[in-house]
Formats: sequence, C-alpha cells, structure tokens
Amino acid sequence: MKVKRAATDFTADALPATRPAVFWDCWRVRHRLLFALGGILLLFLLPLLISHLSRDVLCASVAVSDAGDEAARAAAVANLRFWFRLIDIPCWLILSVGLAGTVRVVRQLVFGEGVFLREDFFTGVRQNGGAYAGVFLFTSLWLLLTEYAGTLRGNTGGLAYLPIISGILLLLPIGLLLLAEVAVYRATVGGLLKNAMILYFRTVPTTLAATAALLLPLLVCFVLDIAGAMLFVKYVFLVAYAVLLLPSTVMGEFLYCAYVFDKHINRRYHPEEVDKGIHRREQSK
Amino acid sequence: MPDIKVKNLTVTYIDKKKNETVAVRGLSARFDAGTLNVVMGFSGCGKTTLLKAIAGFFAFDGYIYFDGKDADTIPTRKRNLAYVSQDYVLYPSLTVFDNIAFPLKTARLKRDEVTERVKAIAETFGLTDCLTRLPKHLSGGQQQRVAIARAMVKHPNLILMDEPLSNVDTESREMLRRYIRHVQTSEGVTVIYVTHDYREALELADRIYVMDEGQLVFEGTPDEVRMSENETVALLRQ
Repeated sequence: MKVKRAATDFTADALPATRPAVFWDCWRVRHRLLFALGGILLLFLLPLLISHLSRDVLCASVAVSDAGDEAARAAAVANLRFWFRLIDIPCWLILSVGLAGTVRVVRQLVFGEGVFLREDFFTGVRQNGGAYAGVFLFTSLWLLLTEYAGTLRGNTGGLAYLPIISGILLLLPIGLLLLAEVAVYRATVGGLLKNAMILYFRTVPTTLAATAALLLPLLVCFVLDIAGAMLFVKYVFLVAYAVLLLPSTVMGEFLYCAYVFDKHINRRYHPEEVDKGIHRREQSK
Repeated sequence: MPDIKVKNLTVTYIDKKKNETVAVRGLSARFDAGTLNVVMGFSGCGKTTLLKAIAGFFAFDGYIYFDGKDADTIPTRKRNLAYVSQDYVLYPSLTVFDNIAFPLKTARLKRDEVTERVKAIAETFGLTDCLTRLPKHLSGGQQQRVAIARAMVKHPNLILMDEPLSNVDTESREMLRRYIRHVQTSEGVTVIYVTHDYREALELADRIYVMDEGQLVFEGTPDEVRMSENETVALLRQ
C-alpha cells in the first residue's frame, strides 16, 4: 500500500493556530470520522424524524380531507400536533443520548487527543447522558408548551409567542453553553447552569450568532415548506444534514464554546486548559 | 528478551509453474538476546526470506528456536515480535496516533494505557506534533519513524527490520539509525536488521551475518568484518 509523502518534514508551525483553523483542519483530516459520527447520530435522530414525518403526513391528510369545516379541521390538526409533541418527548431523550456521545468524541477530536470512537462515544453517554437527557427533557416540555401556546394565539395575542421567543433568546443559547460545559468540566449541573447563564449574558451577540447557526437547517425546512416542496424533500434534506453536517455543526458550536470558556473561565481558574488543541506560534519558539 | 537460534534452515519457493527455488539453504546461525544483528548481502541472497521465516510468514525445513523453544510450538501472534519493512505499510486514512496505537487497540488494551504508551513512544521518536496528522502529511523519514514507533509501542521481544531505511532520504537515514540504536540499547530488545548497505551494517551492528546464495558465508563483529578477506564481504565493501 503506497502512501503519499510530503517533500519536507511536518513541523509544529503547520498545526492549526486558531479555533477556526482547528475546525477546518479537523474537517480536512478527519471528515471520515465526522461522517461516521453522523451515521451514528442519525440512528439516535431517527425516532424524532419518524415522529415528525408521521405528524406532517397525518396533519396534511386531515387538512385536505372533506371531514368537517375548516375550523374543525384546523382544531384537529392542532390537536394532532399537540399529541405528537408528547410522543416527541422520548424521541428527544433518545437524541440526547446520541448527542452526549457525539460531543465527547468531538471534544477529543478538537482538543487533539486520541479518538477511540466506540469507547469515547460510550464514555460520553455514561458521563454526560444524564445531564443531556435533563436538558432535552426540558426542551421537549418547552416545545409542548410552545405548541399549546400556539393554540391560544387567537385569545392571548402576543403572549402566545412568549415561549417561542424565550426559547430562541434564552433556552437555546444557554442550553448550548451548558451542554458544552458538561462535556468539559466536572461540576454539578446546577453550578454549570449558573455559569452558562452568566456566560450567556456576557456574550449575548456572539452566542446568539452561534445559536443561529444551529437553527439554519430549520430555516431550510421552513423555506421548503413555504415553497410547497414535497414532504420527502424536507426529510431527505434532514437525513443528509444529520449524516454530513450535523457533527461538523456540533464541532463548530463546541469550538465556539471552548473559546468562550477560555476567555471567561479558564484564563482565571484553569490556565492549563487555555488554548487546548491549538498550537500558538509562541509555543514553537 | 529471546535469543534466536536457526538450525539447518531451508526455505524453498514453488512458483505457479511448480518450479522450485531454494532461497535459504541449510542456514545455521545464532542471534544473541538483546543485541542488534545485521544480516547483509546482495539482492536475492535470501536475507528477507530468512527474516520472514523467523517471523512465521513462510513454511521452512529445519529449526528455529526462540529461547530454546521450537518456533513450531509458538503461534506467530504469540511470538511478541514486530516486523518493519521498507514499505512502511502505514494506514493512509488513520492518523499517526491511530497508526501507532493500532497494535495496542488490536490487543484490546484500555484507552488510557494506549494513549500513555503512544504519547511516550511519539516523544521518543520526535512525533508528538504529528500525532493528529495523516501519513501523507509527513516526509518519508517521518513516516518510517511512525512505522518503527508502531513496531516498538507494544514492547516486542524481537524486532525484524527488512531494509527499513532504503526508501528514506540520506539525511533522515542518519537520524533514524541513531533512533534505532538508541531504542534498541535502552529497551534491550533483540533486533535482526537486513540491509545491503555495508556502511550501515558496520555502523549499527553488534554482530554481522553475511549471506550469499541462500547460505551464511561469514559472521563476526564489525571489526572482524572490516578485516575479513571473505570474497562476498570484499564485494560488499566496494
């Protein structure tokens, strides 16, 4: 098996010196690992995808049926959506397990430590699965509340939008920081949640931008719905996204969180953790 | 660490047309434990065949003993030996870390132990900064260091090296010889090193074995080889 070789020795100066460089370097060198991780993550995402697909099919068939008047059909659709939000709860918990394992593998990858895919994945599930399940349970209950609030929009005006707005502006960004903290620090979830809130309020613009990146696939789905694309197009997109891009998204989010942790926590409390996975040029002098 | 004793070793190749070629012919030799032994000779003299017979890759007539035990009673995987060839044989899609860790993962060692041993051997071979790279990002010299590190990481009792530096540039060869010597001395491992390079043999060896046409024609220390009037040795000197 002939292996290509470089003309000159590889030196430390060629190692990535910034977090964006780490992202592209990991993508370039370990994209096969990321795709494998995407395949594994897809397995944990499948129940949620199947639930949403079933919901969309059922809702669509009710909406176009001849049964009752328009108001009755709308009520039936809202009812279906609510029940599917309940069914989603265990699906979110299953996804949380997959993400707990994935984030651990991503952590090993971006910190330049050896990656043992199976062992690291199960270590992540074992060490962080509980915390991740808690966050995703909260998220699924919040989504249920959002669905319920949606049925009240006509009666309560702007208040019905409160859950969805608070979710995007608070739950999602704080959850993002919390989930990354769980993978990096050994502390109580309560303590990490408090830290995550403080970190968020110190970094609102950048953390919101990082959170927006997480919502991009949902935006694509929204555009596909508006454009009247067939249902299977949306779900083919979501499956492809899960396999090809979701681990990279997780990696990008984790790198952003690592930057925030270095800036606001590690420089003061854990100096040995600063710039982990980065090779600053000063080190090679 | 084992000493290796070869007694009346004969290895015969049979090609598709059923023609027989005797690659090693009635060879007897002893390789002392904890020494670096160089087997030298021109291309086609049977050096690689001898090495592969000791490794267990070929069937043979005669006897091979590991510390007095007949090799036939020891399965290849239990001989705790490592084989380094001139072609590196690195996995192109695995990082340097994963390439070095491969034999340890195959042996199902725990993660922490694998990581510790890989990092330690990487430091010995100056590969710490390369651990996250793929082989294609490294020079030939660095790739061969990875191959040797992979061979050494499982602390073998015996290392068989088949012209490991022949595809490496001159500058890297000097450095790699020093690494090999240093690691062999510090670990006390038995090494059988095949080369056709006379100077390399003199530089590395505790003892040199000269082969010609499948037979052992001379053996001795580097000084004895320098002074030898043996015809094959004289030809190799040129």
